[in-house]
Amino acid sequence: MSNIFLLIKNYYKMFLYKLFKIKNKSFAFLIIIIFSISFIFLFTSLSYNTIVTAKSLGIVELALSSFSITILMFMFMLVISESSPIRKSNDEEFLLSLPFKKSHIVAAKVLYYLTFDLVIVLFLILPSYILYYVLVENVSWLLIARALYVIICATLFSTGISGIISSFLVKISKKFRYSDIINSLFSTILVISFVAVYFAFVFVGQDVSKASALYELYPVRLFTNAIGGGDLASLVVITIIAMCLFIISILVRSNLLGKSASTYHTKNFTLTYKEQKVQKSLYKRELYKYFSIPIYVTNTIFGPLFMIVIALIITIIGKEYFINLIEMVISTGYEEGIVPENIITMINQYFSVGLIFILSAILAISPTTASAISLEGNELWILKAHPIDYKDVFMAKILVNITINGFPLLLAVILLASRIPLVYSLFCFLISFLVIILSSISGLYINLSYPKLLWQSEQEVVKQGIAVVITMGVNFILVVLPMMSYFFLPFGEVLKLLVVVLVYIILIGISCLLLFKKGKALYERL
Amino acid sequence: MLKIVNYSKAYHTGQYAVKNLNLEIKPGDLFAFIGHNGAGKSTTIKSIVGILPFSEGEIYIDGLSIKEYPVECKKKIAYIPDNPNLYESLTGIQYLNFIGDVFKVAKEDRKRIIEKYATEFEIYNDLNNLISAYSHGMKQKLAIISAFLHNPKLLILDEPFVGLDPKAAFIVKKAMTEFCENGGAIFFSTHVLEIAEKLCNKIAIIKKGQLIVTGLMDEVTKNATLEEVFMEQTTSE
Repeated sequence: MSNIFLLIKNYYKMFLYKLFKIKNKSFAFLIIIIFSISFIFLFTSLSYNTIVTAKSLGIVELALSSFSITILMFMFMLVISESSPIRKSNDEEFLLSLPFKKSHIVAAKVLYYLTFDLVIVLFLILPSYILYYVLVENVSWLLIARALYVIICATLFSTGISGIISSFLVKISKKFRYSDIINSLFSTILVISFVAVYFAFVFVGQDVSKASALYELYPVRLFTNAIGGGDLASLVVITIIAMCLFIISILVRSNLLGKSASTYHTKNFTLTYKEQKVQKSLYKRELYKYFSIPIYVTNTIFGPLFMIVIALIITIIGKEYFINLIEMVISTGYEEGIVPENIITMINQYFSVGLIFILSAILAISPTTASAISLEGNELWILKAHPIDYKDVFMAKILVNITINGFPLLLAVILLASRIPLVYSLFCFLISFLVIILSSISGLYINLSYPKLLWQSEQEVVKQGIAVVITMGVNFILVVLPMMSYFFLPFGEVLKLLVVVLVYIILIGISCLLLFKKGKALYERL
Repeated sequence: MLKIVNYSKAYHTGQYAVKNLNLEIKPGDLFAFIGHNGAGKSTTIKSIVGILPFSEGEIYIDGLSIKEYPVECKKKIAYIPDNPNLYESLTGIQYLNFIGDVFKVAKEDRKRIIEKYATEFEIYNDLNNLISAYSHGMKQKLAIISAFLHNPKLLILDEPFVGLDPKAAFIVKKAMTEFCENGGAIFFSTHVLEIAEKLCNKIAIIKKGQLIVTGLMDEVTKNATLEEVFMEQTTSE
């Protein structure tokens, strides 16, 4: 056990050392703090309205059931994002050479990464229970303690399940040549399943009779009984399930530790010699790299997949249904869950424009470029020591993000064309496409400013990379501000959208200048 | 071919990793660069190949400044690092094709060179496998093939013999000699003094970032061995 703590302590030391070595720390920390506070505020205010609504209905416990569903959704999201098989860590062989048990090495690493997820989940969910304790009479402070305990167990459960899934994926894919790409495909399927489940929950939630059935789901009841009622049996069940799955996953992962992730050896000895332009070669290499890092795929493909599902819902079920979904989401922001009539009118009136902005925002949040430089890691010397123009390197990285997001956008717009006026479909493609370009450039520039080239596994870059968090915040502002201008312009509909397009083009021009001037210097300094 | 003039590289703390280094390597030279761990060998090499920027001094490759014309300079050189971290998500042949594309090597030429060296290094049948499945030595061999792929004028090698089996080391030594006989120049760092002594016509010894000995191998060693010279020069204060 002491070995586990020793290793975890060491990981934290390295993490803190790297954290305090970051240049322009204050700006990075400021963005992270603003971003975190915004999210905490959003979640807490939603919880506040849920409690008020539940109180007005005279069934205040309904709020606890609603929070249980939130925990469940977070658990599911953690399972999806953690299930991507992690490629061999750089320190794996070193650790195996030390007198540690394999299970201790795995447990230390898993627990270290788990704390990051736990902190995020705690910051987002625990305030809801604190609020419940403050707003509802005759509630013991033990409710907060129980919520804390259940959230810890839920995180252990998710880590356990994802560990088992990822080990299973490694086992079945290792016989194939492109095992990493197969793992990425599996991970993408998992992301699709998450998006489907998310919309299924929202779909069920629309119908009052079915919504109450959600609260009767076993895991929801289990969490609600354990946290709200303090039911000992429920707490024991949660503990046993979480601990067992966590331990099993550690054992399964330990079994794979040190073994090669790929056992494939080709029998095809015919070599293909193909001449290509260096730009094309760089682009293809970047695309291979993207699809061979499953965790990179799962953390960046959410947006495009989410967009396609939205387009499918609107196309197949109808835009009225999607408007209802939006109203339902907005209703959680109002006390007693009633959306004012003028807001409903506004949603209907601005549906097509709103849709353009929603899709753009979804595509801007997590560009692949935000971690593309960091992921070069110790392979960066290849780009730097060879006669490769920095512009070609930047372009290859930007083009990969455009490919990953652009094709799903095209598909979504084709689907939407049957449901929204043609002019809006065209603007939808144009504006979203410009947003993809803008977010690619800003993501790359931020990663150049905050590179993390020394890492043990890709998870550190993709999930904990400071550049990724800053990109989320900056891109959100970059995308939202031009959209706001639409609502203040005194022109006709088409002209207003043309102005938004123009603003994005100007922003792209400015960010290009910044990337190819200052970005060049940052790249040379890497 | 390579001219280093008053080159210095300082850390952000102000401390110098390398100070006031001057060297010249002419076509046909096989130049060994030796020194203790941390003496500044890799720092110098990384600056020569354009990985590490520097503010003091100049480095010229075939008459061009690496600072002002990085891409043109890199077209004339090939570099092999001490620990070749290659693109793990590519196969060996994909990596070699990538390097071939970077240097615009014609299909026939890359086929000839790859077949020659891959067969000699006995990794031909592994070239369709992913690099992630390669051993350290196989990666080193792949990096060496990629270095010879575009027929460079100058080879910069950082510890090229680490991880190579005896046969591969023999082939590399032979290839290095042939390369220099055909007018190329090689600048390489090594800790294996016997190889340096046997292979090279010129040598430089660096200690704590400063050049302490440089010249023709015969003149530097005279009647002693390179090991004796190195020990004498580096242990005295």
